[in-house]
Amino acid sequence: MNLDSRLFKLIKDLKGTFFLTIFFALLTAIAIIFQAHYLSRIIDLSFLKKQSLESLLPAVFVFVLLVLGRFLSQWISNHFAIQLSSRIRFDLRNRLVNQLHKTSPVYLSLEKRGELTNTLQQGIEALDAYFRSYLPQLFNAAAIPLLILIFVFPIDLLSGTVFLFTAPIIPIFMILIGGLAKRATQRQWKTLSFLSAYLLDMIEGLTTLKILNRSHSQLTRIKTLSEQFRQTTISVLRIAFLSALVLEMAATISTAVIAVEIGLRLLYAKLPFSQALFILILAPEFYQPMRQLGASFHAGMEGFEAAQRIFEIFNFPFRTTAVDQIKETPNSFSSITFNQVSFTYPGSQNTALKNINFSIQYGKKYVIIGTSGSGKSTLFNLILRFITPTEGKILIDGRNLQCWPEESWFQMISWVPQKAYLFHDTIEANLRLVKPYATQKEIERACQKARLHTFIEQLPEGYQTIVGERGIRLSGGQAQRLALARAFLKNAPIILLDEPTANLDPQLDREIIEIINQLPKETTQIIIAHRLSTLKSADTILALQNGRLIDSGSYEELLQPGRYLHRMLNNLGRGTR
Amino acid sequence: MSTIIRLLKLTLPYRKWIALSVVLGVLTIGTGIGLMMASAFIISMAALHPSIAELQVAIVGVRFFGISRGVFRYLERLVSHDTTFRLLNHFRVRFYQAMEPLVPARLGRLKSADLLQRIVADIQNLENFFVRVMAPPAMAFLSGLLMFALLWSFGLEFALIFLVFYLLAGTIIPYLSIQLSQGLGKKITLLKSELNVVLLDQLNGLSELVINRQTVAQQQKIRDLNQQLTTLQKRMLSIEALHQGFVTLLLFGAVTITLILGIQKIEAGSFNGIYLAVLVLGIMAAFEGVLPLPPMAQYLEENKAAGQRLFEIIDQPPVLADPSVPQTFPTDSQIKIDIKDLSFYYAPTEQAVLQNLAMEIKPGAKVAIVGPSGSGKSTLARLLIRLYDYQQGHIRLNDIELRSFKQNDVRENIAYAAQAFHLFTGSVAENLRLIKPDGTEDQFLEILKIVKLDELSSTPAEILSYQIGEHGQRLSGGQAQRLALAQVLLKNSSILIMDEVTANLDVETENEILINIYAHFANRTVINITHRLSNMEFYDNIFVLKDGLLIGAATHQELLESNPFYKHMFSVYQESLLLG
Repeated sequence: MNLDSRLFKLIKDLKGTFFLTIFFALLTAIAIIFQAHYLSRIIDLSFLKKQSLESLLPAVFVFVLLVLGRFLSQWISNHFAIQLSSRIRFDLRNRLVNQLHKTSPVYLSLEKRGELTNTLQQGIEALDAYFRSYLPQLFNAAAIPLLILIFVFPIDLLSGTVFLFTAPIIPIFMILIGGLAKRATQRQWKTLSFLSAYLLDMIEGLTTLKILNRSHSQLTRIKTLSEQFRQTTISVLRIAFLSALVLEMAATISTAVIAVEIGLRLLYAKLPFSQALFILILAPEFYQPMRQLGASFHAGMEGFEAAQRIFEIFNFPFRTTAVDQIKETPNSFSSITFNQVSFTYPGSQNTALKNINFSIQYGKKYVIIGTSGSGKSTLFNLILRFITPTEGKILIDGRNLQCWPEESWFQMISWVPQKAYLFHDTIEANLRLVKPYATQKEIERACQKARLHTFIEQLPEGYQTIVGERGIRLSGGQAQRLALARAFLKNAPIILLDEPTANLDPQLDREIIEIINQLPKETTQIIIAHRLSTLKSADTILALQNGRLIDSGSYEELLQPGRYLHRMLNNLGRGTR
Repeated sequence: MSTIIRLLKLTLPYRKWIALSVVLGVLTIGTGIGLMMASAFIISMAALHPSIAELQVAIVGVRFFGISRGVFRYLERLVSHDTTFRLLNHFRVRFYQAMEPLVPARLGRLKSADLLQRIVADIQNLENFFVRVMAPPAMAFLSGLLMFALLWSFGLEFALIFLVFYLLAGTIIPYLSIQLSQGLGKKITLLKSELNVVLLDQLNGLSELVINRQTVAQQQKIRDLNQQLTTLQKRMLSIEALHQGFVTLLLFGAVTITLILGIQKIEAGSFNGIYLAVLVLGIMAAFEGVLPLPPMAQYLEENKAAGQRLFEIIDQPPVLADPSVPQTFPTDSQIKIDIKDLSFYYAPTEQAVLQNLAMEIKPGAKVAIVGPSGSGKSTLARLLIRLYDYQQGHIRLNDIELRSFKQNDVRENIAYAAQAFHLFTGSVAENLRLIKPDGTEDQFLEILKIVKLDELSSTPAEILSYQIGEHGQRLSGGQAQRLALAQVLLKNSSILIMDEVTANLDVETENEILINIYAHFANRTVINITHRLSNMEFYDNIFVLKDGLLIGAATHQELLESNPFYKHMFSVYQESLLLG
């Protein structure tokens, strides 16, 4: 039946709207019943009682009023259904967005972002059919036939009985054949969507096919495959559509049965004409809500399935669980200490970091080295509080990092990733991100330091140029400079820098190094290094291997025989020779 | 509107199926009308208490209509689905065919994944063209005509009354709702894509937002867009609901006027009262024809936009043409490549990617082309396999200009392992069979061994049947790259160009695979494009490219001594081995 208590909870605050939707739908049904009553009476009076148009005009007038009333109440019911569905989708989307903002970027990076945005867009839109038509339809399908029965039974017991016994046929068959057919259809739609996926695959891979010189031969294959799929699909649909046949037949045949049955009794004067006609007019209306339910079933199902994914997002873990938060908002520190820190990513067998112990002193320069997978970025994520140590503690001046207010901690950090994310906004907005109330002067000065100012100035729109998909694309080097400009602008006491990998062009390479060297000396710099020259300028080098801190010291110290750099350089020498 | 006409023309080969499906739809509506009219006739007639014999025909009619309507509905659904599949297949093949010569030169650079995805979505969108856009108005028109004729037999006035209201419901009202929703639809699409951008910003830039405490501002931004979108969507839905309401209103308008006219005529004795109920119930059933029209407006708009974009693309003339009298491609594997004064730009407005390039690659040579990204290495490869045509200078194979060969011959004989590749959903074997449909399992396994993909599983059968997932997702980056390489190697061409094919591999695997390949291609020419300067001592010649210019061509040792740019590149490579 596609019901889920979590979906009902969404209606909780909108009970009034939902009630009004149903109420006006029922009012519509009552208008339909009275309309049928007046219509049959008017025809009766004209046809059998031979009354004049003039004497019938009041009845016609009431009939017209009922038509208008039906139109109005139907419209109001729709209006509330639209309100309900729109409100739920609006709130749900906002809540999801807020939820995602509270999750850790590290966990989020494990999810497929395209799929997530899809859920936030189409997934939520799919709920429209569920709340606007499926759910009210469910009530209507139960209530409206009942309402019609209440009117029919007192008039004609036999017709009422026919209605009563044919009514369940539709839901029963919908469940019996429907369930069977639905599975068959779903399976077939799956193969069908496989086919379209196959063709999409071919079109997406067209360039590759062309490079491989196979783009022509694929065309024949596409043709034959498509034809095969069409044939098998149709042979399955032949059975699947039987449910449509039964649904339609249940409604039409019972209308036919009723017509004959009341016709025959009319013939023997056991039933007045106006009542017989009344029942006949109502016959299609009786089955209509159930058929509509059948029609909206699929759309409702889609919404229901989308909802499952949406509720999963609500279970994403939050970023931090600050236990006893400290009250004051410190804006400086003298040391960061890693005390037996270990970290394992959820669902992973391997510990990403194991028993890390070291201390960072204010104003010093630390360089982290190690091959990929050694735990360098995990270390950064811990300092950024995107993740919490599974074991051990990170202490800031003796106090647990997790107890610091997130706000004041982030205020102290400039983060320069290798690839800064550029928002689809102006260059200025992308810089202002780190300091919303920065003056134009400050922004320009930061860009000058990052040697980006001249480039921005020569763009037609200058700092107002939109970057990203619909704007200009910045080259890799320019994006790196923008990330550095952000750091200059924020001017925070701690800089976490994932150094850009060396550029193959010596000139560009030198420039980036010069920019990095301009970062204020009084800051605490923690750098993931990709260049030997960076190592030389470090106060302390931390060497990571397989999640363990295996060596630390100055550049000269690590070059001593037996120490990390000495070993690595030796290996390198052997490898290339 | 011409887009719709062109789409309609595309459906012409299937006109018989379309006609059948529409006729079945009309019969479904027609039997509905018949059922209600015959039923009303039975009741009206019975009210006059005739002998049962006089009802016999109508009773048979009711039975017939009652049963056949279900059957017609069933057949209609079956045929319309069948037609939809046929059309969709046809559309796909046609657009694939039309796009093939345009890729990639006309459709942008090789990395135009966004564009291709949009094309694919647009073709998918046309799925609704028949069922939702073409069929409803055709059925509405024909069933309306049927009812008009039926009513005429009772009196022209009745037929005309019906016609007026039916036409209003079938033309003016849909027209108005299309007009009203048109602008809205465009705005909604725009807002949706704007929302999409902001949502992607939120997900991809979450770290930046969190660290700089901008999450609340971003939330507000999304909330505002969401608000605007919700408002517009509400309006759109209201229009749709109103449309349906007005159709009902018009239906009862027709009923009321028919009633008044009927009553008047009965009074005047010019119309038999038995038929009053028959007409009224018939009209009520006939309006079924215009009910599927409201959603049509939206689909029409979507299909039109999709069609427009597709035609825009396929209407472009191909950039490359085959020569009218092509030269035969040299069959012996000994091919000398001679490049002189070669210049190329992707667009006249852009900077030249290659400038006055001159290179000579001897038959069977093993050479490397190195340089930073953007130096023109991959572009040169694309020119060599004629994905693009060069504007200036010469590329000669055994002294014959590359342009005078057929494109297919060039691509069959020069194999190019591109940096950006596409793997196809399916098994490893299926991806290889794509290249060599008659290839044996042993041949496949041999190639997989060269690229060391036999690591996928311990048994040959499992390696070949290994499902690689959509876009090769079930493979690691390095494995995917190697399977793409295996595809290229399978072609057994006389020249092999490799473009950063070892980018995702560790040094050890890289070395082993390169050794295998050079053994396999011992007598043939191999060009390796790379920025990882490993095993450079091996190459006969190394070309150094920078900003589209050739700044060096010599062996590794010579370059280290004489070329500071190359020297820097080499030391950067060594640092990267040390520091990752």
